[in-house]
Amino acid sequence: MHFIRSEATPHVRKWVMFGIMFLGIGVIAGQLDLLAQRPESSFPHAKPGVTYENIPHDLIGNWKPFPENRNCGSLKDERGTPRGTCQYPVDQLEKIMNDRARAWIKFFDEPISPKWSCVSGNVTTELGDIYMWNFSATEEAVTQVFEQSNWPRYIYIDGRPHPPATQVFYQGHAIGWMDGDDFIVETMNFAFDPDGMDDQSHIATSHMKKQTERYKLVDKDSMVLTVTVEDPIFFNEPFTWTIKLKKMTTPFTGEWFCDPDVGLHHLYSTAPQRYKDDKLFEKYKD
Amino acid sequence: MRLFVSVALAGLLLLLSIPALAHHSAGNFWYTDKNVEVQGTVKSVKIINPHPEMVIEVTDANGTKADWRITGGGNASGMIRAGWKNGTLPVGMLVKVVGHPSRTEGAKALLAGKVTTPEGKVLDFSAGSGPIDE
Repeated sequence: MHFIRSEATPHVRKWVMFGIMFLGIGVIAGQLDLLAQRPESSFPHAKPGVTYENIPHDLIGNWKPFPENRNCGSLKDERGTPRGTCQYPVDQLEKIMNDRARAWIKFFDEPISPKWSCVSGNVTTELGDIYMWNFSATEEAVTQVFEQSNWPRYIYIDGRPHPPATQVFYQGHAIGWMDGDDFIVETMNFAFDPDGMDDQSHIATSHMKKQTERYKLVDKDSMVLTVTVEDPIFFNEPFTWTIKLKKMTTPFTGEWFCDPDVGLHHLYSTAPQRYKDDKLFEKYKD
Repeated sequence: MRLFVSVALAGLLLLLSIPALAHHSAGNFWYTDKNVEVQGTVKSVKIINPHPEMVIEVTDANGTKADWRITGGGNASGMIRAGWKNGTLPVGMLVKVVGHPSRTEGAKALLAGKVTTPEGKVLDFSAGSGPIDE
């Protein structure tokens, strides 16, 4: 600042100020450019919200995903061991990952994953996990309760839009509507999640993530779920995969006790120590 | 008590058919192609998430005692459905456990696996890790 204020260099000062203004305009333009890339909500505002009566009765009940063990592509863990379990075709996802997504995977180490401390699996993971989930409905929302972590997801069907971008949530904000016979769920307003695509392959998603689910009943006891994730921070194109589900009569156990102490012992007695000053490693390694 | 440690071939794995953490990539954390057998006294059993856990006290050939942490391959819901309770293996019982060793060198941790009681009863500490049958 002393340099800028100097009266001995008015010509230089003029050019420095011009440079600062130029940089400022560039930063603002960059922000606007990012905002412009945030996926738009597909909510059909022209129509009223779906009503309780529109929800197919057969949609209500306990559903169990039957995830296939898909191709993990070139993903490796910190030891260089290939990833062994992927819920969706990561080899296909890799084709649309940008360099930022690849850089995150190299940076990631296992303790970053919130799952080891009993944080529930994110909604993208849980839709294709091995655990049951349940659909029930009220006039306001379809409630989706996941047996994993026993957490409820409210999918609002009363016509409300998503909240402004200032509000973000770990599981996002979900709204639903009918498209013919299919139930559509759109989730936005996510917070950054180091395991956003799933908590096995550890591919992150950002605040710009938009997830669209299409629940299509095949018959009263089976369903196909098509999930599309858009996230211009990490992926160059939308990514879509399908999950087969079967209706279950098995009841939930109704409890999900989770002990972070057990989880962290499990983590630190099996994962490599990447950082020597990781105090948690000393505490939980045995 | 004695510590039995044996590294077996993948064929033994097939015989044991230990369900390997249905959700997690077990191979990234455990040597799923190796098996270790330990014998010790039950100190605690938690039918809990993210994975059930049992701690047993193992005494090696030199008489040195150490706690081994045994991780179940499934989850609490699956084990509860399979009939497990916290008292299924009482504290103080002498058990033999077969499981996969940790990829972390020197860690006293196993992914189990089969648990054999003094009466010869074999229990699956990874119960419920597979799909739910209807």
